[in-house]
Amino acid sequence: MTSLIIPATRNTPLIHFEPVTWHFEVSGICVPENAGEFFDPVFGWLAQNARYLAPGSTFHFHLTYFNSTSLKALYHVLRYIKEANIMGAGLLVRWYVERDDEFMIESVALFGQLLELPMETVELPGEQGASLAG
Amino acid sequence: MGSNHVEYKGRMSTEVRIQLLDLLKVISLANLGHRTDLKKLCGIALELLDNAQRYSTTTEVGFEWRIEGHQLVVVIRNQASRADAERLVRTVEGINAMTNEQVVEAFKAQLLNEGFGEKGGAGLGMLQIAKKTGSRLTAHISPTEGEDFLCISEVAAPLNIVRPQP
Repeated sequence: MTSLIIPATRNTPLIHFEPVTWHFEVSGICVPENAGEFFDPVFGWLAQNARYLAPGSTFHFHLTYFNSTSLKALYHVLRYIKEANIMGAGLLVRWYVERDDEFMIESVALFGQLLELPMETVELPGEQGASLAG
Repeated sequence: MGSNHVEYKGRMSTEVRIQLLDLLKVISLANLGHRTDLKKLCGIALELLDNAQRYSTTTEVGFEWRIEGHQLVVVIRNQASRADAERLVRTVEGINAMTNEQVVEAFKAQLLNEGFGEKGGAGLGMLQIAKKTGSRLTAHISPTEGEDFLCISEVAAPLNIVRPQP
């Protein structure tokens, strides 16, 4: 199983899926013009590999902001994880959210509600003065 | 509540969009103080800027952000093809005719739909603005000298009202 690493840019997040070390991370700002195009290799990787990952593998999402086209793409990323779990994969999802970030808290709740996918939320101190782009 | 006015006219690019987003975050924090919906407010600008960058037939845009009393007004001006301009008007008219509950349902239906537009849009931006902020949306289009249309989209978001989440 190959790893998938897409370095972060000024408007797209780091994607780091490394099955050997059990490291699965999506982090940074996510405001590409075309999220379908950006996430296409992620969808492909998940479709091919998600069901074969070690049970208990955890996908860590730490995003500072995402636009609505990315909201849709992230929903479909989570849907691949849910579908793998339906086939018995036992994957986990953990979101890191700043406690003063209503946007992210509500977005994670929306994903959970629509997908019925259990997700752990890790609350971080607020960082309202920080740059969204990191 | 402090009032402020930011205006940008010029080339739109990914870097300009990101820098504007950061600037607006700092400005809204300085003028509105610490509040939990700052990213939602900046998100209104981001969605309009996204649309302008995605559908504009030129690289030039006009962007305006004003906080007046208890209202945030965001305006974007860009040129677009007739088809995209007319679609913008139809979208805004459709959303404005919806109840809050219909906006939420339309948003969910569009989110669950697998497709992305050929220009990368998800069809969620205006719905997200309406859903998350209870904003009033307007869109005006007018023909330019060429074949394109000038599009002016405006969102007026009350700063003390947030639509209830489903």
